[in-house]
Amino acid sequence: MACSAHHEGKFQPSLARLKIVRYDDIGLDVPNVCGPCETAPCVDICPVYAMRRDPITKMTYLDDDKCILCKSCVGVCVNGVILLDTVQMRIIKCDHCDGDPECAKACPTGAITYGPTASLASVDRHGKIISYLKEISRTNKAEEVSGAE
Amino acid sequence: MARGYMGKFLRVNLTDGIFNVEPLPTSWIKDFIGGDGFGAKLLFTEVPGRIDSLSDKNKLIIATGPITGTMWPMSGRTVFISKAPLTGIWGESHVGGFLGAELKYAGYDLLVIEGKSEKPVYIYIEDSDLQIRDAQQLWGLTTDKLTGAIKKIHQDPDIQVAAIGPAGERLVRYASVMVNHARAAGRTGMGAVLGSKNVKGIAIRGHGAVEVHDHSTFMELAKEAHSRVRSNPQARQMGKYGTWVLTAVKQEIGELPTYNHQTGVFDGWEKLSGDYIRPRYTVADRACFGCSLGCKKVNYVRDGPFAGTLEEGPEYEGLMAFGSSLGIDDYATTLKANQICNRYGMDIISAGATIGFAIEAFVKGVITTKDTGGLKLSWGDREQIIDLLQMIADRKGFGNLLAEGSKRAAETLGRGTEKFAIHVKGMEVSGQDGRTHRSIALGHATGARGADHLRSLVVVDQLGYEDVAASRWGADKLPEIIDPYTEKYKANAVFESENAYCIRDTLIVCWYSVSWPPIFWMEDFARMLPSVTGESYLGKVENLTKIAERQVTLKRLFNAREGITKKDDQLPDRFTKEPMPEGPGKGQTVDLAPMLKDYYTLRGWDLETGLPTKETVKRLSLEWTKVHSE
Repeated sequence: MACSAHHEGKFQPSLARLKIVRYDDIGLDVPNVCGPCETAPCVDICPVYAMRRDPITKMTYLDDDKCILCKSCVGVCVNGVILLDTVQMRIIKCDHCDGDPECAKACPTGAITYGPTASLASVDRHGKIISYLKEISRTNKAEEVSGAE
Repeated sequence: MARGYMGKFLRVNLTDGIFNVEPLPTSWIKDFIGGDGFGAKLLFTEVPGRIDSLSDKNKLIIATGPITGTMWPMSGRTVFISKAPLTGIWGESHVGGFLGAELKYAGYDLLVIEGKSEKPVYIYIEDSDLQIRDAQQLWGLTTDKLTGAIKKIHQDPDIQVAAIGPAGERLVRYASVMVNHARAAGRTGMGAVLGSKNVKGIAIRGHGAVEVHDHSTFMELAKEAHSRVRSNPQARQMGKYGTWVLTAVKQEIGELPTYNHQTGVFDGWEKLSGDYIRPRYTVADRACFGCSLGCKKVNYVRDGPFAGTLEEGPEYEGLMAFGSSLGIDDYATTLKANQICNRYGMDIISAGATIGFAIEAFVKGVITTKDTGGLKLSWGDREQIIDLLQMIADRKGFGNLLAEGSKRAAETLGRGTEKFAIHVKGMEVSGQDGRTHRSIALGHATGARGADHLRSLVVVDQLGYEDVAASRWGADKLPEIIDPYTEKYKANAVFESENAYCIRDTLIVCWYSVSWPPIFWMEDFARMLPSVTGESYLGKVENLTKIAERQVTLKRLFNAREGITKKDDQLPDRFTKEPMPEGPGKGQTVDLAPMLKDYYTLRGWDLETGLPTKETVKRLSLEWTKVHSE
């Protein structure tokens, strides 16, 4: 929401440049933000070279002037954070707020961070999620064996 | 149209199967602000007096406020309003989650559901795509399964679903509406209203925007408000432990309802406190829409009879209802009970209190195994209590009677069991005790929906926030106003808190930003509202106070139409005649009459009948209610 408030001047999560995936059933929220990407499919697929990646930060940037709205990047993004705004006909993509992103400032728990250590945080997060899912499947198996509900 | 609103409300007529989009009357904004206020106005005008809550004449309103869907902290609340199946009077139930914001993004401030469908349906709203869809295949599903199923049907994980479970279908009197899996619009039985209309769920998806009047000023205020939430020490505690912190506090002042409110101290309280629970059970913290606090906890039971239970919650009220109040000193049991309540869609407070009523009546020998269908009830019997809860959800055997709520169950059983039914106006008393927290005694007695801890609970005295009390109500009222054991000044505290909470319920913001921890109050809302709506009228505390008074009196008039008078503003004898048997508040009872008198005077209600006087009705410009009042 902070994202659309900053970029659009209104509150419209459907135009946010990030995507929070919520799993209510297992109590897990995964914030998907743009980058840093080890391999950047959006850069590779863009037919007009409108997308580029900073070799050091591994963050990708879109040049709106070059964009021909072919939507290739929308389909190929693994995080699902590139969108086509069909009202104003433009690609909606995170521009990293010039290195000081609103989403990270708004996040109360530090789940979204920005900086050289960002990849470390995401590794931690993945580790936590994996161990958590393992625990769930372990108990599900135990339930199957015992027949308990 | 003032900004912050979408300017439209959506009406679904299930009998005819049609939708209607109507403009939001602009005059409502100055008079009622939004949320609860719009709901009260609509319900009063459109639902005639003394109808059956479960008939097709009743309506269910889902309302949002001007700041719903914006960056203001803790603004992710939604309210369900209807005539309550549990009490037959004013019914409302607020819920967190993401539903209200989604409704606004879809383009509507309110959703009104009326009539009755012939067969099970669910309502699907995606912006201007409005459908009443068949739900015969979905009937009988638990709320979690239903939510998943609807998301799957529409191939969209971001759909927000308000679901009723099997308890709502079976018209359990305190059935809840569940949002986001574990957020419950629990009290007063809103789930039964949907059940009676054959509506299994409401699915909403919106892609629009909420715009405010002055974006940059509002964002500044909102960011400042967020940082106030994050730096508040009590809020940080709350983010860590949720409302579990209350268990220890309540034990300390002798207000932890134990054995169906018989006493206020519980030996096993430590196992129900935050310090004990968090390291042993909690696996994740979660939050509702736009919240910096994040009081929701996902918990997991590793061993014992309920091993493998993974569920969000319960909060303090759940710990009380299925913990101390039933003599259980085990968190896992309360979590299991919470899971059943969530999945089947029931209010955990009323469910626990009704079971407590049955156990006390059985233990004291007033009812026997003949009444219970062979069940031998006793305090603290975990497995049996969970089984009984399941029976209520299924309306099986003895559970069928308890599904009617403690008041109706006591009337059916007779033999003096009424004195074990701890309720006001038919709604079971929540996790407070007026004997050791005098302001809540008045709050319970006068609450518009019955024994209610959310409309006027003063926590300043309960938790002893001296500086907050001094700044809100003046230092001259200290120390009495923060002494939980005296009646003095309590009407003032209840009156002003109720007013502030009314504004909270119109905006709508979360309980936890207003009263406990005390972060925001009227002046903060007055400062923020003009930047949202562009209405300078809403920028003055005295105007907001008047709006709040109007709303309390309007709900009172609604209840008066249903036959409520002063004689109903009473407490169970347990609080007024049975002295607190032990603990720090030993020997305390409630003397309600002086507090009621002060309260009626402040509200401008008649001291003899408890009804709003003509002058009050005129002062609050509520004369229009007369037309609808026969």
